[in-house]
Amino acid sequence: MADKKEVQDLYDKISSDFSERRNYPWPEVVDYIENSKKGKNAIDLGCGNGRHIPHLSQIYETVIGLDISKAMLCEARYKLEKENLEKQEFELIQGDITYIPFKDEVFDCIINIATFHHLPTTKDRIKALNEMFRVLKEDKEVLFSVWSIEHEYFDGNRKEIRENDFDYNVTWESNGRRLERYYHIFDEKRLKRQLGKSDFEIKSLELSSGNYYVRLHKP
Amino acid sequence: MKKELKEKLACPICKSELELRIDEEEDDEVKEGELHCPNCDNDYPIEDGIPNLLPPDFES
Repeated sequence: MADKKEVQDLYDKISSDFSERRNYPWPEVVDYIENSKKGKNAIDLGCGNGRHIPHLSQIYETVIGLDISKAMLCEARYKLEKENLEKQEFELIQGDITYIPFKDEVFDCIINIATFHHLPTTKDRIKALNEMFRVLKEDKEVLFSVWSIEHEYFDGNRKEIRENDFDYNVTWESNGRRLERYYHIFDEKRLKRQLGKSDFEIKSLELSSGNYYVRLHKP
Repeated sequence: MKKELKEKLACPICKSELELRIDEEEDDEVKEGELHCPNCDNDYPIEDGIPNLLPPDFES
């Protein structure tokens, strides 16, 4: 069982390499953002190298990127400044999605992409959902994604994942180093059950490119 | 971080409003300083413009 500190250390170690390989925003996320109504505040929880921040900046007045890894945030700043995004348009914060450092009902939009599956315990996952609910305004949404067991990466080892309570370490190879990254893998039933423990309504749930994308609505 | 961001921030633990102490600033940007929670008495450093609002016991 990994802990959050190990996830942080891992991303600190692989930040520049990760940033090079995950340079492009995901089309499902861009499509969602581009079809959103203009608003005041948005946050990307688990922003990594900030690949979705320029898209959020087109729609929202203030955009915040939060990540557990300082090294990833430095990558994000370097990349966003290189893309000539004005400093006024984004803020970067080091934080933990189970302890979101914002007041209640600040955000018009939250995106939480490929982050939630790094939380190692059910307790942490419930805490993160409750925190997202707290900082979101009423009648607004979270766009949420996690890796699905249906992803082609898991061809041949689904049985092993199921037997190991859906906990799985993915190896990240870079410059001859092999580093393990912890994931909690979801199938649709388990994801719905997990999300059902929060106060959110599931507005839509889709499987696309091996990821589940969920729109979570705060009533 | 910009000074005005403080209005939206809260202590990660107790969600109280934070006090901003500035050591170094450039225009409206806080480069070095800290955010202090008067309720928990925790300090959250701002280094190189990025506030660290991880829970204080995160390292352990």
